[in-house]
Amino acid sequence: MPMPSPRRIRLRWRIAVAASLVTGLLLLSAGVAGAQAFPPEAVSEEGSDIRNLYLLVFFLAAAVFVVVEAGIIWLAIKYRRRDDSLPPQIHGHRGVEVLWTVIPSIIVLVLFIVSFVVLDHIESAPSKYEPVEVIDVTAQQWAWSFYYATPMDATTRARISDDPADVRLRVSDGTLFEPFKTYRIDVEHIRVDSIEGNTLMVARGVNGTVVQDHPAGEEILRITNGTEVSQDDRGELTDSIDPSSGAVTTMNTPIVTVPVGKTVRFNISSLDVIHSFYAPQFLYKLDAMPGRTQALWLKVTDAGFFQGQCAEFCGREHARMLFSVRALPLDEYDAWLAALVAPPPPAEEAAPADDAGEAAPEDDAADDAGAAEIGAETDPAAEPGTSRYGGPPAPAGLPTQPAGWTAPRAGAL
Amino acid sequence: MATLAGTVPTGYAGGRAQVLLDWLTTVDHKKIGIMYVVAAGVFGLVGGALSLVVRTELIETGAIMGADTYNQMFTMHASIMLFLFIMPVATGFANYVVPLQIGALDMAFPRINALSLWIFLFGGILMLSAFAFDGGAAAAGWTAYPPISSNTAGNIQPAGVGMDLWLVGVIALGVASTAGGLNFLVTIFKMRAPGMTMFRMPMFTWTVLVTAFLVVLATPVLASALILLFADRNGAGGVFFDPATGGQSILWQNLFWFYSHPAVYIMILPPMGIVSEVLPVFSRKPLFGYRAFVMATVGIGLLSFIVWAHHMFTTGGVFLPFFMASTFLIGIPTGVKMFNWMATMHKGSLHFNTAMLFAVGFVMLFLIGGITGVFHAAVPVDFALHDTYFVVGHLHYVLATGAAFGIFAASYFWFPKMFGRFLNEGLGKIHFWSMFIGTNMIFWPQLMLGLDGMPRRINDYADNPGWELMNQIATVGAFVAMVGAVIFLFNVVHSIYWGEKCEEDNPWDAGTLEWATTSPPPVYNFDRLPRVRSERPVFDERHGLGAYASSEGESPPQTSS
Amino acid sequence: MASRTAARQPVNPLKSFFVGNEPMTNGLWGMVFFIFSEIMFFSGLIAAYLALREDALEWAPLIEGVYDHHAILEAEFRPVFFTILLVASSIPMQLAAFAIRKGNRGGMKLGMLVVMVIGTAFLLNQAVEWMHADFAIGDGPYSATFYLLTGFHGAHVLGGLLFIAFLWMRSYLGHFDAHRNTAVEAATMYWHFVGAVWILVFSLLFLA
Ligand SMILES: [Cu+2]
Ligand SMILES: [Cu+2]
Repeated sequence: MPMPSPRRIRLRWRIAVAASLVTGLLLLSAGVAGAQAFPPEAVSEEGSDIRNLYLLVFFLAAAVFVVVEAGIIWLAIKYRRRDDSLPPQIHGHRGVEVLWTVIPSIIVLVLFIVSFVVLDHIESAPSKYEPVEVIDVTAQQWAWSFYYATPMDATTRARISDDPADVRLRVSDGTLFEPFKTYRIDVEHIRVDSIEGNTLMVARGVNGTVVQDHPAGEEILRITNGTEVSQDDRGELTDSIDPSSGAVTTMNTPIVTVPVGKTVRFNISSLDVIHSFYAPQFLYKLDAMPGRTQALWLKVTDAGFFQGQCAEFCGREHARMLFSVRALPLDEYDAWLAALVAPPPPAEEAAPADDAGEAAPEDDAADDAGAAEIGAETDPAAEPGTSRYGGPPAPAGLPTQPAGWTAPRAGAL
Repeated sequence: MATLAGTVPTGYAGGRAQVLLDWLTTVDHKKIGIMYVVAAGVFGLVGGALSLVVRTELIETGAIMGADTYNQMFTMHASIMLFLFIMPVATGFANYVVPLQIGALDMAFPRINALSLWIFLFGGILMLSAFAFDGGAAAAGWTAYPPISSNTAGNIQPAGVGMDLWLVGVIALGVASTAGGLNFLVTIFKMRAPGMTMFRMPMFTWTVLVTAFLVVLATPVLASALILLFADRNGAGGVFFDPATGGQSILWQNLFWFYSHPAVYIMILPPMGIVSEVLPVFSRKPLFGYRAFVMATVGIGLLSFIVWAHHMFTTGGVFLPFFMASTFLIGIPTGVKMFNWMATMHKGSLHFNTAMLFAVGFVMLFLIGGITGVFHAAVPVDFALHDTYFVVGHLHYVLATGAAFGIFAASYFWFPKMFGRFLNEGLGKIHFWSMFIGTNMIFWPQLMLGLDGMPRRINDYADNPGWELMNQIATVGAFVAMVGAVIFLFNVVHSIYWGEKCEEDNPWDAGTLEWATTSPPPVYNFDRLPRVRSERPVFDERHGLGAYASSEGESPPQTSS
Repeated sequence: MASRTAARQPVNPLKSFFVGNEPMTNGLWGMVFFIFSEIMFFSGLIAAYLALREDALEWAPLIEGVYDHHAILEAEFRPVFFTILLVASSIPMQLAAFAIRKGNRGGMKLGMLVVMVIGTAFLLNQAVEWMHADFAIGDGPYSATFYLLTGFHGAHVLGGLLFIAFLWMRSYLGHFDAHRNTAVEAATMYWHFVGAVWILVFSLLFLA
């Protein structure tokens, strides 16, 4: 074997250096990647599904990546120029071209089918007989508010028409209700849209899926998913925003408490600009769009504290629009929620303009505190950012039949 | 061969003022092309500097400059890089090269061509001038989602005229690129030399043709959206896009992405075309599967109009299965292109000068951009990754290591044709390696940060394990890449005046018609044209292939049916 | 190989399009593509109009939430009359193009004159329409889209009129004959487009 020329040796050195640079860089990054080639472990059923889909995509992609990059490096070394002769002038090859059109097509088809199945699975609402928690998530610059549907007990349920088309409800005392709050009876949720005297305009649905459209009320801007959001629905802030400068002075992190093992429907909406409800360990996010309310279904599987953060650019304090998720075992969650919505001591009973958490006795129409406050600061169980609906606690807040509400057909009033 | 030195800024008989006047009033596609590239390069440096500011803010947890400044920085970084760097620099090369590649004397409408250039400059300067005003530049992100962007009150960004200047600037840029697109369409359809059929057009010309269609059909939609947003901010009071006054914020997203997804291909197709010129030349082989490549390009162009909503998967306002399917489909023509590039190298005689390095670097790193795109196409995975740094890494692997690498390859490839001198190869290699290493240091950690849940567009981040380190690697990488860019700038300025002279018409042994004329070409482009019987007429002529193959016998050039 | 490809000397597909007896020039192709882009521009505006309308509970809402149906302009005699007039002005414009194809510059000038008169009248009527409209641009989606659509259409009419007036004056310098008339043909195409867009805009704003 003849000695290679010095030029050739230099060239080989260069190739070796370049090739090791490239591969070294790729290996290094892969090494640094190590633990972070994957999203965090999921703490919800949907997140696990998504993570499994991610793994499928990842390993397919990694295979393609390794094969193609190795192929390019191999080609670059093997076919580097050695002399001035003209290589074979190959213009194409029908067979291999068909092959490498078909292979990506198959990969893509498989990925589509699997993704579609997963998507269908995570997006589908649970059975209407499965009890769920409904938590209203309201985003605004730059805070999160979480509201929990006020539960009512089974005795109230008997007085509710089964016809979900009944959206005008007459009650004995409209002041016991608050607009834009959700009340829950087993699997049914009733959202009060507006109150005119003792008549409630409501949206009804099972499992938080509000099924009913409504004729427009003056203050109602938009119907989406059958849920109205009012311009006035500027819920109480849980964050302290300096009114003069608009700057957020204290950065407390609101906490949303969720049960483990029970499906939660987050009704997500925004009061101003677009935000996005995102907790990395859910592997899931949904934008909080102003003017509409959208549902995100989750069944949390692990108890614990998880980080959450607004993911859609929303202005100055976007980076600091954090929240935490506290997942409690179901019994602890129920106890926590019961404490949150527990009626205050009876001493405050019948006092006008009283706190919203008060237990109003049946047929007691004296309370004219229409705009009940949120009990966050008076409620020992409430964390910053955790608010609950005021209004009538169950079951006493609902009047009895026949003095209670009846449900005439829409438009009958 | 004596040249007219039409594009060399030395050797004029007249004074400097005359030279300047010549350039300012020119309608020559070559001069206009060079001015596009130079102007875009200057804008690109500004955009790059802004990215360094962004990376500096993220070097550690805790805010350094405050959100108001930071938001302007990332907004203008993106706006400049997309609208003022990648798109116009590709337009510049297309301006210079396409008429030459198809054997034309000039563009179809030379004066409209010049007008496009000046409108582009006007729009760019308008957009940047916002920095001089109270409240600074636009700070709503380059996507300018309302209601943030439609809000004019002081407590919500952006206050001041920055956003309005941004809107008017982008409208002007849109007018410029639409006019340019019309020009390319007519030029490519109507001005080709005899024998230059559609399927003998160089691949770069093909990509410019498809790009021009996208520009002409998509840009006006953006213009309409920008006008609506401008109206919202100035008189209409948010009736279009602000839900608080009855508008729909999702409407903006639909209109915006109807343009801005095709815009991704407007930015990536010409670099793909460049790579498809450079790889075959330095492999000394024809592009493998030319027709399939054309079909893939056209296919990507068509698909680009039905995938826009894949940017909106998490808005809840999108019919997900359709857009998931159409987005996955993009993977097929893109995969075909990858394989065709590799097959072009296969059995070739590969010469790794800087142009080739950037072309191969493009193929290697664009692959990452393509693969990470598949993650986003799978809607459930996108639920996890959307609006995180994974998106940032993905789009930069497509644009910064894809489109920009293609642009650098074009610079080294066509520089001798444009200026009659070579760019310095030694500096070029340093440029390439600092870019290759630097960009990977920036964007690979960003992919991992995104997986870990770091949202994009934040000026401060949680002190999670590993996040600070990843961000620091990225910041260092940004400076490494910037060093490469500065070296490139020096190389260009130096080589224009003192670079190694290129005496030949065809220094690279390339095949397309721009190499059939002098370097630089005369004002009227060609003294003679070879017979065009394939997509590589010059190569055929030099190596006695195709129409020049002696064994096949001479066929008369003017034969027509 | 070479002989086979040479024998199959392909025809440029775009060179087989004719206007009159002449193959379409670069300028005409430019106008065709320009009209494509204009169609996309108006499509964007109209898509916004339709989206807002689709989404509204009642059409057309005002911001205050008071639904005032009088906010919608009715197709009364005057707007209908001027719509017909504008659309009909495509006829004299086309006649002008026919005339110049035969080299009849006088006929062309006459046609253009008629078009300019009608176009100016149309624009004046649009001004009247704007003054009569008892709503401001920010009152709601209807008013906003009304001003934007009619405004941009009006700007296009004005642009067309200036274009035609420019050609009309050039014809006095002896420009245009049976073979060199690209600009006239292009102006004709453009004028047809302006009329067609108005039919759409008018039906959306006044009829639907
Ligand atoms: Cu945010
Ligand atoms: Cu896209």
